[in-house]
Amino acid sequence: MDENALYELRRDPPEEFARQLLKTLHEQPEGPRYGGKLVASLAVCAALVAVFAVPSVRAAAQAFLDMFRVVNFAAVPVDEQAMQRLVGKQYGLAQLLGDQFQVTHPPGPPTPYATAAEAGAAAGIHVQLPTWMPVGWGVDQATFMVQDAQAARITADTTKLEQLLTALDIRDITIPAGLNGQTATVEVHPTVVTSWVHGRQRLAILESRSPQMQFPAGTDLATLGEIGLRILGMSSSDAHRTAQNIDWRTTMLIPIPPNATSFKEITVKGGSGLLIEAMPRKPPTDGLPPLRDEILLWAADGEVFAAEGTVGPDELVEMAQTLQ
Amino acid sequence: MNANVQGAEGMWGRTAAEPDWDSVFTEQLPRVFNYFRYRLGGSADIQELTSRTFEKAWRARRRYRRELAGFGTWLLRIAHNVAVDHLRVSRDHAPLEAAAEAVAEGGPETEQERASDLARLESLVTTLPARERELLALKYGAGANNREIAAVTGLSESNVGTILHRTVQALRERW
Repeated sequence: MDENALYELRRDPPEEFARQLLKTLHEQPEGPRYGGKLVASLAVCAALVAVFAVPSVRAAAQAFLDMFRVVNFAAVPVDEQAMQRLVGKQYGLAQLLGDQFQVTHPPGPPTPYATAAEAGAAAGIHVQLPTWMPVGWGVDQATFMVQDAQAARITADTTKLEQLLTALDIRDITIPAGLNGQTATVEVHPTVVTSWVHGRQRLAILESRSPQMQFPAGTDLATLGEIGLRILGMSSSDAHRTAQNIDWRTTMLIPIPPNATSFKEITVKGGSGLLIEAMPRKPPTDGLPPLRDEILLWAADGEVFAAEGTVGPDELVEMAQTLQ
Repeated sequence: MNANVQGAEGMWGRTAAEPDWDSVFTEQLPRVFNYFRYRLGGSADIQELTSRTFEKAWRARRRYRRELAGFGTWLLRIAHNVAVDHLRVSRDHAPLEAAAEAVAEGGPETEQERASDLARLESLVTTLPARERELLALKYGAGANNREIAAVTGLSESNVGTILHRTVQALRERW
């Protein structure tokens, strides 16, 4: 047997099948395109993902994300090199926040609960469960965990911010006047994590009241947001345009990880959401083909949700739509 | 990836004014069709899975990002995901046996001998572990090169080459 024999097993698709399929495709509507806002916002995300990967600055980065009261999500691209600079020792995010970041309510360890009702009571929310799951999965197979609430206070230090901007050679943006010494408080509510495992597959739904941040009235969020986008590697023009188009009081920026293969804005249960598809960063250790990972984020009725798993994007969305 | 497919990337790209879908379809259909045949065999509805792949690609064609993958690789990745989803739902696949039987039917004596060899080879392929079979389907069914296969599976290019080499060696030894 030679290698060519393996090629000889190929067959041409039946002509009638090919003709019918082509006809069907031409009759199909095109799927959703990325909106301008989403395309413009594809940069801050990868940076924050990288920050999260570094334990020493994880808490600080979490606070950066939580500064938005979430109603909408926007995907943002991030320059990975800029992320590396951010987690560097000399001008890292931790150094930027440093003494200015004070944890006022440190989170306790995650606590397991036997039922959704018990987990919901502990978190102060009604835990929503899907009424539909993919074949082979059962809602009654779920396990429940509650991640504790946390809170922090951030005090602005414009001297340190200027040092960081200078170090990154960002010299064409002005820090808002009167920012120095201003404080903001961040509050992250308890989060219920409902998880399933099915062979190699996994699935989790996170649910929490929307995190909130309080800051002095009149704070120039658009300019601060633009500075943040620049720090994360976005070009001057893109950062300015994006910052002007985002409602910084209601929009959480989500970094699109480098291994993402696609993302799109999506409506889930009437709320604004974002679906990200990604291949795993590392090959699986079991030698089997890697499983694609999907993350669906959405906000509705004052709560934020995240569904993450390997069940497939259509299945993930369909399941999320049935939460109640 | 050949020149036509490279052209398809441009035609399907965000800046394309009018995608030449027919040419893309003609180029890629045999690759996807045979990928499923090699991967899942006669027990699976190859036409259904091929259709599902192209329908997903068609709906998502504006989301194709050239900087992340070549067009053919992107399409094979969708096919790969469709296959994974299919295997997840139907664990009872007994691939290629039906196809092997169909190949062995009828024809002149020389054709029958050839068909018999192919059927035997197909039977051997069905005994391969899932990962080896996936790589074989991408290599010989879809005609993908090792770089494309690495992009689809997440394995390194050198690992793909090594596994394929060993797999073909194993088939030879059992021939």
